[in-house]
Amino acid sequence: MATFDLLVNGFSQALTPTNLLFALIGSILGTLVGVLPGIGPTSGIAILLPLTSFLPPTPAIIMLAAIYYGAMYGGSTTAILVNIPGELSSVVTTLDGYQMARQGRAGPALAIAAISSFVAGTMGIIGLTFFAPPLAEVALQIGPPEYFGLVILALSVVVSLSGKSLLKGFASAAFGAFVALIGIDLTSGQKRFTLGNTELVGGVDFIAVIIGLFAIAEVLRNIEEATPSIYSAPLKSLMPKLKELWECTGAMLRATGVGFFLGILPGCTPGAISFIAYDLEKRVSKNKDQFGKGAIQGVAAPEGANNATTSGGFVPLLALGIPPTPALAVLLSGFMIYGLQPGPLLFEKQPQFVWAVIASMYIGNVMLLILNLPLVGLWAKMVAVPYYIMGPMILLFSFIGAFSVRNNFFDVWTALFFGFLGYLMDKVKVPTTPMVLSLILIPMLESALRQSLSMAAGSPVLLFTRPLTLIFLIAGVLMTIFSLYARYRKPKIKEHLLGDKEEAK
Amino acid sequence: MKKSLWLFSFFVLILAILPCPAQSAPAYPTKPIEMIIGFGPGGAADVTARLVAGYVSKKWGQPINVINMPGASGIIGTRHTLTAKADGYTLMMDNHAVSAMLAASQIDLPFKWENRTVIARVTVDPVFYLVKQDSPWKDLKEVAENIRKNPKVFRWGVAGVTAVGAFAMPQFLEVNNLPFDSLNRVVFKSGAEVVTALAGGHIDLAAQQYSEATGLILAKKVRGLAVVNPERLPGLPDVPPAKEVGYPNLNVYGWQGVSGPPKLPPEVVDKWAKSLEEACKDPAFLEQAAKIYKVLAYLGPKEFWEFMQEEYKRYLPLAIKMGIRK
Amino acid sequence: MSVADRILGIILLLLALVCLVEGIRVWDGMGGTGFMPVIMGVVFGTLSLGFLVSRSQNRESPPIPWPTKGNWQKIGFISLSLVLYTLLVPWIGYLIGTTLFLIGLVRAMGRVRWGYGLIFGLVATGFTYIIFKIWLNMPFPVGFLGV
Repeated sequence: MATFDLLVNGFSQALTPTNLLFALIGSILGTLVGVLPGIGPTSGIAILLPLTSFLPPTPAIIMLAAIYYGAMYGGSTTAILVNIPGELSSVVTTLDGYQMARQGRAGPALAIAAISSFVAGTMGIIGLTFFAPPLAEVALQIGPPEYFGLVILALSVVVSLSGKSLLKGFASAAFGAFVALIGIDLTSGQKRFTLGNTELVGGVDFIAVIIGLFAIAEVLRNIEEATPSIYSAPLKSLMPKLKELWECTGAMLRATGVGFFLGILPGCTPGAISFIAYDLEKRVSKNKDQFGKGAIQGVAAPEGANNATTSGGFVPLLALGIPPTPALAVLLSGFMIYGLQPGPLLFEKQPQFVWAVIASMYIGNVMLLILNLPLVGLWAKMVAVPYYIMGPMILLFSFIGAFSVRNNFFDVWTALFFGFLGYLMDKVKVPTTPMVLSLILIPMLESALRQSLSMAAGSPVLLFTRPLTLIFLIAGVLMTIFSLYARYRKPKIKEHLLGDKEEAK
Repeated sequence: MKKSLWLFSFFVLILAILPCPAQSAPAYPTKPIEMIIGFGPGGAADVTARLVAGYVSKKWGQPINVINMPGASGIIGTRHTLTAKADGYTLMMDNHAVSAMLAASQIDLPFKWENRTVIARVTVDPVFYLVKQDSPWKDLKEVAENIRKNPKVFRWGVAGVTAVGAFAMPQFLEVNNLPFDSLNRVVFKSGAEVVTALAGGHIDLAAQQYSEATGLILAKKVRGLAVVNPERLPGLPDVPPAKEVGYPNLNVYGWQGVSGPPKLPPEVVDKWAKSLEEACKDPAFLEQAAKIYKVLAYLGPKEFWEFMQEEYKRYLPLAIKMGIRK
Repeated sequence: MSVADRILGIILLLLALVCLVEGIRVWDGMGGTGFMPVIMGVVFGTLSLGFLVSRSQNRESPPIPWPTKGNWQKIGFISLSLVLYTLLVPWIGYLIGTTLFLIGLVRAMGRVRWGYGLIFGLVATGFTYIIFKIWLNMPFPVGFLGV
């Protein structure tokens, strides 16, 4: 069919040596940027944009797209090795990925991240290729009430992340919600919880919080335990066992579905999406107890979802000219500078351009896989580095990372504060993950709620009359009920015996 | 040993202090310049900043680094610039949202908004009054009438309290003698979200900038009923200027320019103003700006300052009447 | 651990009060600015009750694994260094501050000689400086010495 011809045409363009070269350079640069904590794809693309200015449009755009893909991938490396999520979407990868590294399975973790990203990303691009315009139309139908429903659905994940004490899990989530409310309320311009402090007026940056809770707290814990290095014994293997790979196929497929479809929706952050994918995987998994302790699907799911989201994000971008995330907004401005005018007209008026870019995305995915699989060995050896070097470097990178998000020194203090807080929370067994989930979701919840109310002049009617919204809300309630049921179904004796082992990290 | 250490430290201190007073210093700029922008990457302001920075740095052979300092609708970045050393190496991309509009809507800013050295305005971003593609309304008058007959029914989308829409739509209501609460105000995080919601039919009206609206207008997902500009804009011949459809008094629009901390040295201001003026006459720069949907509209330091004062006189009463001053 | 639970309960109660106060201060109708703060106030209040009045039914209360004496010193020192570093860097600049910080940390965490520490500090500081300040143009704090 016509689409296929165009795609083939696109490949023939994308496969020229120049374009391939720039796709490669873009992938490498993007990965490097993604590995650096704090600098995510958004700032990465913005910073690297000038580099493309001396190129003609097609290679320039190919390079930009490759940087984006690379950055989304790079964040998972540090998430797995040192518990520092490179950007929001890698937060969930730390849950099981870092545990795997502590167990000497950093190699398989990194490998499965690469493989899952490749599979899901490629499938996502296929979806993009063939279904972009109709999918984009669907995306437009999702309005504030539907978002509200979606967020409620996502919040139901809190139950399963709460570990042994539901009360503590909720407390953690509540605190996350509180932190999310600090700052200027966008709807009214009113300052909330800022206590007259100018810095707080800018709100608490969540990447700084995450760096603190995950990276800094972990270093403090390791200092206490006098860990010689992240993993000291000789590494077991660098690649996942064939059986493990097979077990992950389901995870990869599910993650692709979740990631791609949710990635189409403007405003749905990759962070939230990876939580949903992770939780889904945990629910359907036969070894759900392993999640949080090093289950390989716990890495495959969020990583796959990320890359599928990346591909999904291009649907509204190319088909409507609407960037669903800030990173894609920067990419969009890059595109526009090179004369690419995203929107339905794009597919009509500049087809060779579009298809060359789409073709290069396939290529980009392949390149990342080829680039990163061999590097797995190199990265995995890092776990043997003595902690008296690793620890200080992690702390330094944490500070730089926190600073780099908004070029604001206050964020470093934020990271430090949450580092100490995370360490304390661990001592009293309050889980930190619900706080992060809440921090990401509550702003979305509040704006969706208030927008829905404003749309109906203050009445909540829209939340209960629109079909999709109702579906999401009911699904959310059901999921919560199921999770609660699953949790309390276990006989009390088992709880006694298992004791504290059930704590989720 | 101790004495030589003291002596050594003394020398280091002297050396550090020496370069400070710029005597017959070489021509500005002698090192990279930081252009701060109070918003994140990818937004209209950010893209303009990068364009301008790229152009000027090429001309002067000195890097101009665009640094994003987002937070609090631009307050964080603006404060950083206005309290920085006034040596010309820290400047900012100024725009409508961090000057008059901000001052109008926020009672206690951590800085005095007029305490800045304005250098030049570079671009304007005309405002479009938009409805969704299949809306039954043909022109602004019809919209006004419908609102009058059905208060509190129609929904209007805006991206915060310092966006152009936040002042453009209330101004529209005001010139039509409609109460400010006849429209349901739905607030979104960004202009992109507003136009998306409009295209999806979740809101009925919006007033957004050229750079935000054009994509969807061209894609035929939203329709522009009027634009606040003396004439039609290239590529959008179907959108008439506001004065042609009976609204000559609509005058809210976005703009971007360069400003710096108070008391910038005159050489710095002059050099920038001159280069920016040349940029606005340069066809290559014009072409680049057109690609990102910006209209070049240079105003020199004095005129720019007067312009800002006028805006403040216009927006403050509007903000007070709207009751959004917090 | 009951005492910890009670403390948590009190903290949550305080947060509940803060939220309610702020929520009422900015209250402008249902679904307005004060809406979420008030809801959070209620949520915190409920949670705090959960912690303050709960009886540990069959929950074991293992003691909180506070660090041992020796570890307290290590953690205390490192925490202090982190705070000092963050405080001083704007004053003494990234280059000097980071070098000193790294030297201190690496010696605290491992028993390395001063020379080793110095080299590590200089190399790591220089390396990060090049990547972040020079290549990526991040506005690192510049101290009073101009570096």
